[in-house]
Amino acid sequence: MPARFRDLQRALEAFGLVVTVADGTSHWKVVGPKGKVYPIPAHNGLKTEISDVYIRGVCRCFGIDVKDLLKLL
Amino acid sequence: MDVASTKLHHRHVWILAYPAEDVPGEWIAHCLDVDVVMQGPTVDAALQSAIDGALFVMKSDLSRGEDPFARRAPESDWSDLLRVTSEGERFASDRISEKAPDMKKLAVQCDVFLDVDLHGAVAPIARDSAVPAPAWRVAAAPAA
Repeated sequence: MPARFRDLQRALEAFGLVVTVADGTSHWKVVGPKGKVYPIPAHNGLKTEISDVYIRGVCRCFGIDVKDLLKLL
Repeated sequence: MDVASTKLHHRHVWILAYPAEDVPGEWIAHCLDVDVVMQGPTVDAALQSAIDGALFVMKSDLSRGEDPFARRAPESDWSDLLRVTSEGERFASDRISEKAPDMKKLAVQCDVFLDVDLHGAVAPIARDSAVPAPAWRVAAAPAA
């Protein structure tokens, strides 16, 4: 099930992750507590519809159970 | 960072690209070597986004003293890649846009270059300014 970027942002932040714009660019990124980063394909800004494949990828990166994240979307 | 203190690292990375099943009109591009998934409104945009994302992750991980290739994608994705490269049709990279609509999945190998500072006690620093135009090698599985 795809999600709007703004909803995904809220869900990721509920897991203690920071969603922000990368320095000096217009690219968004997710930042974990130890500084680990993951880029976000937000080419349509907050309205971008994010594929489930991406959601599973970001969950793998930060060790989040995808089912738990999907409950927040 | 002076040139003498840097070393150019060259690496091939593999990207699997395919239409997103759940977002009509979008393409997924998954860089398996660093397990970065990106998407875009065209196959070219998705591939470029995956390359940019992979370089971003490599640069960040190297600056923190981490190995970006430890992020490697799950084995099931690598099996998928193997299937596409062994069974798919091969064609030149400049035909990606032309061929993509008729293809179910694309496997693209891209050369990336990182200029890494190995001088000093701190973690290496990567910069992506030395990235040349990527050379693509493509295989694609036809649409079912």
